[in-house]
Amino acid sequence: MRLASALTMALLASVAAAQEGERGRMLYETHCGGCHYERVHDRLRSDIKDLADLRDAVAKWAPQTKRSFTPDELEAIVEYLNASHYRLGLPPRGAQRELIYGAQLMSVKEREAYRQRMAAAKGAQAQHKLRVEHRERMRQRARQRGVELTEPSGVVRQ
Amino acid sequence: MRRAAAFVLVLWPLAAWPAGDAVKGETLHQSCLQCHGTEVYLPPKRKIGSLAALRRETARWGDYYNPKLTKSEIEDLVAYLNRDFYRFP
Repeated sequence: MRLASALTMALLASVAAAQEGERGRMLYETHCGGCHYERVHDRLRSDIKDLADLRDAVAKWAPQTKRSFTPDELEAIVEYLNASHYRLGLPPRGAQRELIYGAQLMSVKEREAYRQRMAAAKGAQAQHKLRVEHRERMRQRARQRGVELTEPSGVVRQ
Repeated sequence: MRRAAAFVLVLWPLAAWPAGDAVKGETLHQSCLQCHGTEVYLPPKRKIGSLAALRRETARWGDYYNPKLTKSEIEDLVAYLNRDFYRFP
């Protein structure tokens, strides 16, 4: 019984986290995209070193939107950005199955080469560098082909 | 010979039936939910019209991942999607 209630609580917590992430994504896309692209969060030399830095940065830039955000809304944006880009305190993306950014614009051979490069990269930093460079190449390719990629997944927008 | 042909004809539909593990498929499906919800499997957004097409589309997306989905993982996902959404015979 205890196990069942613990499992229920864990499930509810994960559902709540997913909802929070979705709310953060909506807020981010609605209010932040007017001034900058989402790629600003992919900088190799980022000033954001921990969650406190990320919270400070979100709070610092939020007033530029001329909209006032509640603390809960700011936290939702922080959670979204952390889950989608920064991964502070979260397992590195490489530990999960990663959707290859712009995969639909790549050939089978290119996707295989990407997997091999990622597997050969030593450490999370090297993988992050490869990922950032790859995203930039795919963005250029998307522009050349006249298609738009959704952020942060890199799926071609229908 | 006729008996063998009849045997093949009887087993043919079973070969097309998803042989994967829907429970494993549901876990694998978490990766898909990072980009879209399950509404894409339901009318009016649904685009897939047969089990063969579902398998093809799942394999296509499986090749967009790192690591790539294995054949058995594709079967698991197909089993899950067919059990909970498509219900193709």
